[in-house]
Amino acid sequence: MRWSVQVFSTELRKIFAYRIDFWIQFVMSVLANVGVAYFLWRAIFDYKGVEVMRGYTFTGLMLYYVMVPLVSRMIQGPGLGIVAHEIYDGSLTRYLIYPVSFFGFKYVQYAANTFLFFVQLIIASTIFLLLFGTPEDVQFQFSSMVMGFIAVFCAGFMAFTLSTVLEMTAFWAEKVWSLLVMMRFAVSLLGGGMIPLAFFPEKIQTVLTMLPFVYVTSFPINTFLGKVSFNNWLQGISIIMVWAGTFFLLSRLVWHRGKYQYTGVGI
Amino acid sequence: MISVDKVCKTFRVHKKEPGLINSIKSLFVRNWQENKALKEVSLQVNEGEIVGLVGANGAGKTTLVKILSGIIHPDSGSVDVLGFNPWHRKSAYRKQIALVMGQKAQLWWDLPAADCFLLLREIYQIPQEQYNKNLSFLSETLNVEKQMHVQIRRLSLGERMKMELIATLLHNPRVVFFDEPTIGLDLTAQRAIRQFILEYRQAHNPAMIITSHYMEDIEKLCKRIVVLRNGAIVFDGKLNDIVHHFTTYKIVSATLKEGKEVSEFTLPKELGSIIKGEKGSVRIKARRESLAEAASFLLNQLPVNDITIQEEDISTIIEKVIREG
Repeated sequence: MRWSVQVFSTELRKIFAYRIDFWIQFVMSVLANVGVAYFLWRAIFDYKGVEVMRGYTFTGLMLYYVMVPLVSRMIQGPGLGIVAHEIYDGSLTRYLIYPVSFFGFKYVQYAANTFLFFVQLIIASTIFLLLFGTPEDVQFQFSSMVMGFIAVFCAGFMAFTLSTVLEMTAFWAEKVWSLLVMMRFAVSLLGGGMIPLAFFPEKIQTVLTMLPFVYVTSFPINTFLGKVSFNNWLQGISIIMVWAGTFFLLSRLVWHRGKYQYTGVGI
Repeated sequence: MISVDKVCKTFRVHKKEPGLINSIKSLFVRNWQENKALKEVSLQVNEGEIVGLVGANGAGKTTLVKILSGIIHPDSGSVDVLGFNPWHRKSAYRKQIALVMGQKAQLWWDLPAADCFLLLREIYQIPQEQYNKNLSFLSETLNVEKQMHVQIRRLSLGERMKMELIATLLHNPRVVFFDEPTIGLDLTAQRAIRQFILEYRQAHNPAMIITSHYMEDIEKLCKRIVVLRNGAIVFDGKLNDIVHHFTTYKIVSATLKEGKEVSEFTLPKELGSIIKGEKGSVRIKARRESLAEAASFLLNQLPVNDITIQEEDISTIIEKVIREG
């Protein structure tokens, strides 16, 4: 398995090859997300005249929005439609020739990106905490950190298998960009990326907790922030594992059928 | 080493008439067309053999290479390479083969070649000593040591192709498939790559299958060629045999004394035909069975100073076979 260490390292070297893109992606994604949220929620808090809304202080909410793009990318992986494009333009051929597992190769690439977003998350959160202090509604504890990492790991595997299934529909449909964009939008809207889950009606929250979307954004962030009890965390992890198992089996099935459709265009 | 038995492959492709209206129609109804890429193709290749796979565009060359390397599945027939069914893509099989795609980069564009090779060393689990030895042999032979630390995307086409060759041969494959290895390269780079392939064969004795549209590649590298036309093999044999198999003529060239004119010279139809006649020289296409009579006729009718008899140019014959059979 030494190859996986080399793939991990190669993926990092690929990312570091373009430093301007690296810094812009990091800084701008956080600034853009927090910038919009700041003006929107400042106006809402001022209008309501309250200090805490649905368990969030204004500063706590801003920390949530700092974490959203980074955690979301940590779990959803590097790019949209990479595998689909490889199927479409025949680049997949490379992985069919190499004596390593295609999924293994892709998962290690994904893990390298996740690692990098994790480092970005630590940097961004530390800067925020140094500038604004720890928000009153946030309880950073060692246990919540450990639970958060486990949640990220499990949700990451679930998101990886889900995106693999969707991307591999390119074996039949060739171009599946819109399907993938819809998926990202659904994750952002229904997963608490735009508005924290606590602001949804309770019945909707109950339904959403059964779907995979909240486990990509809201669940791991709230776990890190100490807002998820151990029992709720355990329930969340169980749901993630069920979805991950389902998507994993589905991805094997789609791969098995799909490779018969592959024609390796472009050579 | 490579055994292909009655392999067939058909592709189903969307056929669209030109124009916007037809594009809109295709959103609702699609017409499909079946292209028979391979029709009962059978082939055997032994260790150390270099086989040239030639044919016009769409003849099925690349499809056959894709099937042999396990990228696509044949509809029927059987394939055995090194005792493996390529479609099963066993790691043990993939470690022993290589595919060079002239039209598709396999290396990572954003990385220097040296980084790509390190990754391949791990993927193929090449022992350090063998890796160092192979890399220095390959990079020295192809003269690209100075480009090792430059991003792949910044290399010229020729340099990139050389790096692709190194990448695919680092693990000493026992079977190598070259799909258009010299496409788009200048003459110097083409020559270097041909020379390199021959040297590599000398050193490692692998089975090689080469597809190329450049007849020089085939002539210089292959002793045996397989000609495909519309998905079927129309010739499989020694390169020299194609001349006897497909041509009934030889070329007779004569230089005339004191620059004599040949304007009134005619050749009887049963002996052959005049290709070119001008002041001081004449070239005729003489039938094999009446070659002696044709030469004698020429010597009697014209003041010949010098005469040469040649086979028709191999590349011309191959091109003719590819086109017409």
